[in-house]
Amino acid sequence: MPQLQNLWSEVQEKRDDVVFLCVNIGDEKEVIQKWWKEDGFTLQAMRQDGNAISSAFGVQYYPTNYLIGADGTIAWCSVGYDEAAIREYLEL
Amino acid sequence: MFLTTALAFATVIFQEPQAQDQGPAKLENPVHAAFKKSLTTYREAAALHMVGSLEIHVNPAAFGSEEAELMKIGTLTSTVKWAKPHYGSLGVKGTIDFMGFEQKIDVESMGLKDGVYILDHDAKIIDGPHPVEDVSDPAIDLEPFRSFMMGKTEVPEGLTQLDTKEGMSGWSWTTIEGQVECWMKGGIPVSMKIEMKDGDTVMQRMQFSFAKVDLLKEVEAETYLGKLPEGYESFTEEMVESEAGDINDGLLSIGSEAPNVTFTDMNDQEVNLESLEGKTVLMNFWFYH
Repeated sequence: MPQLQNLWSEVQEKRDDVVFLCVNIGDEKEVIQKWWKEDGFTLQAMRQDGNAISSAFGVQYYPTNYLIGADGTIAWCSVGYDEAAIREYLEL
Repeated sequence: MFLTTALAFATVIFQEPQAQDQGPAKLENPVHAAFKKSLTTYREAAALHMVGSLEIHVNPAAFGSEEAELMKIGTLTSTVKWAKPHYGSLGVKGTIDFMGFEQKIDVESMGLKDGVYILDHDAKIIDGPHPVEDVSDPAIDLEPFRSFMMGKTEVPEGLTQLDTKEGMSGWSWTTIEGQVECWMKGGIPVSMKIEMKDGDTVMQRMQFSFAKVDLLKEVEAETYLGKLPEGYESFTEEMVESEAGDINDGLLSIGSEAPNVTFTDMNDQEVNLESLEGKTVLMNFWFYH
């Protein structure tokens, strides 16, 4: 998450048409809030009903990252955190 | 938590994920790619057999205690039967003794009899299975390892530190491997330690020792309790392959329409993915616990 936060900070400076959503599964709201507060994250954390969203996106391993294009289609996805690929797609 | 830990840890055994130059529109996982590349090793490991001992140590300081000494909170005696390249995780069957509570674990059993096996110098099964609970193998001398685990000694002679990887949340893993005669009579080919650090503080250490046997060549089918499909006398490469699966199974195809899901933000407000159309969205699926 810290790496993603760093990337997000950079993205915010360069792009205004990109949204990062950190979709949590299974943690209490308080747990997320505590971590966000302690580490000063400005990332947007999102919760889901059970595993509804994970399931809709076929996510079995964590972390998994998806990039969704401006047209609403899946542009890229990867299990793990492949920052280089994300950077390339976002042209950073 | 500990099952997760064990699997997360097992991840490190076989995976050597290399940073790859990936194009943005490729559904290609570096872990899986690395796994395929080392398929020979994988197959040996998959075939396996092994006497495993996993000790889990945590730093009480991580839980607010003033104790700074690492504390052993659990041991896992396992028989690892099969490896799947799901992040390199292993099928594990055994018992975790966690703070006095016993927890049986059995992940993706492929029919290998539960128990502990003794291996010879070539990592061939020469004895076993012994019931896990009955085995306290005098041939295993874990002392050098324990000492190492507790940070009292350096990497035991015969082991090589492979690398240290940055993990999630600022933790890092240290992976070592090698052969140390004294750990088990005859020498078990590989042992390793994983150390998770948060900054400079050691949060958790785990140790694992295992040996490899090429099931396809070395082990009689009967060892596997006759659970082979009818007509087969031994496992085939195809059967090993079919066990492999793919880490990307189930993920949505590139170019397909993203489902319009509804998130709940930290202010309990609902947000539709569709409402973000026109923007590029990175969705990071994660959990803390």
